[in-house]
Order: sequence, then structure tokens, then C-alpha cells
Amino acid sequence: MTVRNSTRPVFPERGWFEALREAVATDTELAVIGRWCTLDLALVACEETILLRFEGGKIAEIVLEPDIGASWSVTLRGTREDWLTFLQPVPPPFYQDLLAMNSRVPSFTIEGDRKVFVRHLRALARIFRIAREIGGGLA
Amino acid sequence: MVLPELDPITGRYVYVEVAGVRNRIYFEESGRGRPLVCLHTAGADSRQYRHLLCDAEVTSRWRVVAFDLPYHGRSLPPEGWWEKEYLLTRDAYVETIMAFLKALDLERPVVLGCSMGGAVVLELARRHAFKVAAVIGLEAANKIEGRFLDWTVMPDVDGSVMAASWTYGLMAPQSPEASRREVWWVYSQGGPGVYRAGTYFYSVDWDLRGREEEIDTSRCPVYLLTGEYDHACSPEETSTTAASIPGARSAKMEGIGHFPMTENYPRFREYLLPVLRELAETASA
Repeated sequence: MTVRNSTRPVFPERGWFEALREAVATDTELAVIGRWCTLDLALVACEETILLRFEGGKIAEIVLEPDIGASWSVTLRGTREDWLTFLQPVPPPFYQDLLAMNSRVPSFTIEGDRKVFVRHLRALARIFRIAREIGGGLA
Repeated sequence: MVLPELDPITGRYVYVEVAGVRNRIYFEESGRGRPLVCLHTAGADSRQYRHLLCDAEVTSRWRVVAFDLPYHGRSLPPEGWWEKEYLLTRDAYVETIMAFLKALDLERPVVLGCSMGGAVVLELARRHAFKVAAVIGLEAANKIEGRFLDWTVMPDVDGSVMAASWTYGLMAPQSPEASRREVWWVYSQGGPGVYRAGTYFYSVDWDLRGREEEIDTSRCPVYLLTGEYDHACSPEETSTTAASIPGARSAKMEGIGHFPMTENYPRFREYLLPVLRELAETASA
């Protein structure tokens, strides 16, 4: 599903994650493969942290700046620039994929329980493909 | 009667002895002319070359042959596979390819390989320059770091889906989605531990550093082509390797990733066909 409008939210605003939640909930591929995708994932963009709680392939909760009482299993940490480059419609080499960035972009890392990340790789690849389709990255 | 629509590809099995063990190896071929032998990537099989095998501009001049290594595709593992860990070594890989060439009586072929196949063609050029006319290595360098991992054999990880998804991001976002999904599908069908076994060669046992000058490109020309989106083997790593092999040629393929022949064949052939033309002219000169 592609979301396009002139006042589209920009990553990492709450509105952008709300758009992602909506697009993920209605995605036809995730309807097939997402049922077994349940994990808590944090995106870090410089100083900002956004916690996404996935349940059955849907975003059940969006927590901006989670406090010390929140926990999660996987952290995707990069600069704001990294994320905006990743979210471009056609990103440049090594920004096309989370694993590509992890191995070739020094400021980007996949942290935490990496086995959980690996086990959800197929669904996460689709979710971040949807994120790119929402836009909000560099033009 | 309506005639069936057939690919020009035919598939057969050949018995090949490798290190004293008899293997039943599946291969596909198409075309007539000088032999062009194609080597698939780790954990995959010869289906990756289906577009090349159907390219009339190639098959009008070349006999294109692609085979499945034992354990891969339709080539079953040799008996007793369940009692030993499969790790593809440089020696076993080279020996298997040479035994296959001999079994089919393929004289002085050009050998094209991708990823682990791209690396091993450099070893063929180093060891067997008199038996191989030229090599074309895709996504290859003198050393590849960090690809040998245990994720695919862990009991609480679905190794088939993991290998497919792990390699999916190696492709260029511009490549047609159906083609990228095909790469994913082929990867999802690898046997347990087979992708890992190939990465053992590609990222552990394979190391050409310090031996690049042992390759004599006057006897066996070397071409190295790497996609710009390949994060396992970058175009820079390939060009550095080519620079250390006297006479080797290299190019960065724009808008392509780690699986050129499958993820975007129309784009890949723009790079491959000039190389094949050059090799054809060299041979006829």
C-alpha cells in the first residue's frame, strides 16, 4: 500500500509512525506472513528513541521516548540522516537494507537480541519496505 | 494440435567421481558453440542462470552449461551426508568443477561464477590456466569477510526462510520485484546447512591475498564484475583485487546487487555480452 499526500508526516514524527501502523495493518503480504511476528523493536535516530511493539504482524503500540520502565529486544540505531537516506524511494548503495547498513554504514547498528531480529527478518524486511513506500525520507 | 511452449533448456544427470565418491550431478544446458560453464551461488542452484540459458544472442555462439553442486538443487548429497558436517572447501570445490568439466568433455571452457562461484573461478585461473580459457567472476574479491554464520542451522531459527531473507537485501532496489522474489524462493529451498557450507568457502577457506600474481591472465583472462549494491562484496573490493592481478579487468555494474544474472538479467547482459564478444574475438583471432 502506498500513502501519498502533500502534508505527509516526516520520520521520526509520531504521525509518520501512525501512517506506518495503518499501512502495516492493511498490507496484503503481512496478512500472510505477519501472524507469527511478535516483538518489541526500538528505532533510534540520534537522540530520539521510538519503541514499536508488534503483535501478530501489526503495530500494537508506538511509544515515543520510552522511559526506564520499558524494555524491548532489538534496537536499530542510526543517525537521523541514516534513516532518511534509508527511507528514500531509491536509496543509494548500502542504504537499501538494514543488514547492508549494519555492515557498511559505520553509524548504523543492529543491537540487542539479534536472534530475535533474525527470526523476524522476513516480516521486518516487508515492514521496512512499507516504511519506504510511506516516504518521509530524503527526496 | 497446439505445440507446447518450451524453454530451450534441457536438463540431464551425469555421474562424476570426486575424491573417490560417486556423485550424480544435475546440469542444464542450451546452445551450441564454445562451452560457457556457469556456477551458482552458495545455497542456491543452476536455476539462477535460466535467463542466460534462454538468451539466443548468447546461445547462438556458446554452449551454456550450468550445474548444481552436490547438496544443491537436484544434485543429491553423496551417501553418508547425515554423518558429517558439510563445509565446502577450496580444494573440494575446484576438484568438483574440474571433474564435471572432464565428465562432460568440456574443453577449455569459459567459466562464469557468482559469489562463491565468482571467487572459485579465480582459483581455477590460478591452478588450471591451461584447462580453462577464461574466467568471469561476479561479486568476487580476494577475501570476503563476515559471511560464515550459524544462524541457518540453529534449531529455533527457520534456516530456509532466514537464508532467503538474509540474502534478499543484497540486491538492488531497482531490480524487478518478481526477479528478487525468485532469488528469495530459490534460497528458501536450500537444504539445512547448505548455504552455511558455501559461505564457509566464500568467507573462510577462500583467501587469495598474497597469491594474486600467481594468476597468469595471458593464459587465462580474468574479468571481475560486481554490482554496486552488493554489501557482501563491494565494487571497491573487487577493483582492488583486480588491480592486484596483473592483466585482470573489472567493472562496477550500476543498479545491480549480488545476484546479477537472476535479479536483473536485462541489465546484467549489458555488462556480460561485451565480455563474451571480446572473448569470442580473442579466440578467433
